[in-house]
Amino acid sequence: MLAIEGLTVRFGGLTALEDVSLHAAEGEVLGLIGPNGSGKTTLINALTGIYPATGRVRFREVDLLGLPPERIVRLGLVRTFQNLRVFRRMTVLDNVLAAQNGMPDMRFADLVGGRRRDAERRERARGLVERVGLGGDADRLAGELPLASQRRLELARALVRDPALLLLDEPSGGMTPAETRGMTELIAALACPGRTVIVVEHKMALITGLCTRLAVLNFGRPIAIGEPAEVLRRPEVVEAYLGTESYR
Amino acid sequence: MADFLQNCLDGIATGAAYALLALGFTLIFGVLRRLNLSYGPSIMAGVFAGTALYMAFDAGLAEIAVATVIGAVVVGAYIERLCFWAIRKDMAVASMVSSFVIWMQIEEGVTLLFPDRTYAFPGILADAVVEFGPFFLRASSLAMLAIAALAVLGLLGLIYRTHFGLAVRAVSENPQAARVAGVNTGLVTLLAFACASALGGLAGFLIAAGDQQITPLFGLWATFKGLIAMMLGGMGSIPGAVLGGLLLGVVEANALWYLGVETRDLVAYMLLFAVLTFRPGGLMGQAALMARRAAESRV
Amino acid sequence: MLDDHLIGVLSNMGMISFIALSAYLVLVVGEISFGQQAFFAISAYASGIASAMWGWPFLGAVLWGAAIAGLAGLLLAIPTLRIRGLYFAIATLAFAEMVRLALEIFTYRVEVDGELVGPDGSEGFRDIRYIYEADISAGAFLLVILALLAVTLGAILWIERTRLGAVMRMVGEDPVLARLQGVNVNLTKIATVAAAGLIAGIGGALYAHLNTYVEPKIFNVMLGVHGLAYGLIGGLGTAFGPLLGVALDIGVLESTRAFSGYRMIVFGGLVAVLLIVRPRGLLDEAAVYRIRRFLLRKDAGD
Repeated sequence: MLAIEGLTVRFGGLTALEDVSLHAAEGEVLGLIGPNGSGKTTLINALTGIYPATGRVRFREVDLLGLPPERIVRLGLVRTFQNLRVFRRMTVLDNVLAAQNGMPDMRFADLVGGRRRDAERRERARGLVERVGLGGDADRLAGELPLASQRRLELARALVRDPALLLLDEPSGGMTPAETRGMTELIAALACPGRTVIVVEHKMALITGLCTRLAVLNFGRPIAIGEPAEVLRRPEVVEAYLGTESYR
Repeated sequence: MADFLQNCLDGIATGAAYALLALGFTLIFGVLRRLNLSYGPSIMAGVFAGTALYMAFDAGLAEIAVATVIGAVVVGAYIERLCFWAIRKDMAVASMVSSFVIWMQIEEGVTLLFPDRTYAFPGILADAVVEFGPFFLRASSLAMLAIAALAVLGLLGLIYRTHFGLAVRAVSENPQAARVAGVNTGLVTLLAFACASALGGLAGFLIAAGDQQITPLFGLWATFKGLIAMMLGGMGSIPGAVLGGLLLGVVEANALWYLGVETRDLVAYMLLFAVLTFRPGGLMGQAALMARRAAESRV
Repeated sequence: MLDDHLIGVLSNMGMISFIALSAYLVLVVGEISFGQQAFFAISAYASGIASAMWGWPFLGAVLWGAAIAGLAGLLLAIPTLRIRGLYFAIATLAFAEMVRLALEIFTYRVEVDGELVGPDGSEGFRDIRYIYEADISAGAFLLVILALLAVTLGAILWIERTRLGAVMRMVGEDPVLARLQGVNVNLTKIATVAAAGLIAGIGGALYAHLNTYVEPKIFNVMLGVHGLAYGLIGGLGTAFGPLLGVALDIGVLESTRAFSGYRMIVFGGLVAVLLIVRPRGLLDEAAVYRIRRFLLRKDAGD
């Protein structure tokens, strides 16, 4: 459902991604790992239309490259952020409610129609807020939440669009081991048939617990792809990580 | 053609004053990445300090120049503490608005102390004219041009050749990293502001001495002319400030000659608007602006 | 009955509130405009031309002026779409000065009842005589101002409760994140700046008809900066914020006369200090949120 061919991203003289080709099948959970600066987040930014890139990205028969971010999101490709991004001045519930913009069933009247027209979406948002375990915080300002809760909010906000492809950028970043376990369970519970997930992570517990396949990036190029346990044993992967990153 | 050339000479003359004003503006923007819209009023306050000395003690030119510079620096430091130092570092726009409202304070404060519309200012070289064949240029303008050129060299030397300049560039590039590296960012910023204000005071002294009079409206004039000149040249660029000043002067002089006095300022603002929308980095700052934008768009 | 002084103060507050609300809308989508006075000016002229020279009825002239101002907002919004922050602010300033200076040379006069009427460059635009001809008292005109202000405020408050209001705040807080939630940021900004122009335009049309005379130099940068400052001190969390700002400045500082001669010093200092301690104003989002929760809790308790 997602086919990346020869994707290249350059910033001035720096090549952040070079000739990356990667496929993701319908319903799979693909892990993406690599040392810091290997281009994982750049890949997500290129897929979501934030960075200009060359090459070819096909998502369900649509060429993504060149489309503006809001169009890509409307196609069903939704992401979270490594360095948390929530609307801090809005409540948790409003963050999730507001994330449902430009969805196929949205009409202009819904924009200005007030709360009654949004009642169904509000219920949906509230349900998701509860499912990610933020039911008690639904009416708090998002900026007041602790980091782990803000990550859960990002997840609810992404899921409310019912994405076909979910890109998670370090969903457990900055979390304690207990919080990481909670997040892993949450992601596993929220996976559903027909939804593809690509998850960028450093923590191997989360990767091995969730992923059906694993791709490794180093210096902007894919160096290995395959079954997680097998990939992690490959010498070039071990070498890429040794001394640069500790992993458990 | 002769008209056009004389217009250009006149334009370069006023442009020299604009360039001096733009230099201070660009120095502040270069260091803080913020805009001080009260720059003109702080210069105006300095010039009034000079006028006060002149009226009360009939002081000599050197004393008046010093008083003007000190006045501008003191008011500049007040603005820096209130509108820049005290406001959170990521709120560039709040600083700009704050400096705009402090403008009202300064203008009203000066008007309370100096209630008349205009005050006399001692002239230097006021009537001296340098002739080049059929063309002529006021000597005071030539002096301003020379001082602007010296100021550019001095600033470039200060920024790229001294330890202080290194600190300034560090703060400009990344204030947090500079602080971690042991730079006293607050002090560096204050000193850079003081440099800009001193330069502004000098510019104000020369302009007032050329006009032989001063009004509280000078603040408005100085901010807008300096701002347009800096924007044309490119925010933060030192050579750009001089180029922008001269360009603005030449465009205004020709607009005045061919289109009339009402149209002169209109043309200047149209030029500013066009530059902002089509090339917001100006003549010399486009590459730097694009690099900053790219850095800001990282997710 | 209200005395003349009070009616004058309230009328001023009402008319300036339109500029304050207009600047506020632009602030909500995350930009600073120093130039909302331009739309006030454009509509003052356009509506004056319609009523004094073309013989249009008053309400038609006001709507016409507001529509032209909204169109001007569109004209400003489109070329400035690519620039943000300081650059956008300076572009609005340049735009407003362009409008003011263009009005300094704009001359369009026709003969009405044997007299030449119309804008006459820097001489201004005299004889917008509707208020005399229809024999409307200052008190009655105040009611017209307040009614139009109430309609405008109601519309903004309604929008703020809808999804569109949420979209505007998303664009204001983090445009990149907003795009990634499916928001068309460009369209939102264009529509907001145009609507802001229209709202300032209503105020401008009222101003021209109350004063019967306008001249370009009224619409200087300081008018725009005041309009902007009202939202910043009153608060950006609700449309009541800019009105609070207007009340503080005109209602307290100007009309009590306690600060006469020092008003700008006090006002400038007040704004500067508030920008330090409460960068989003007295009624910022967090304050509005707390007030709303307090009110809801009281409802639930009853």
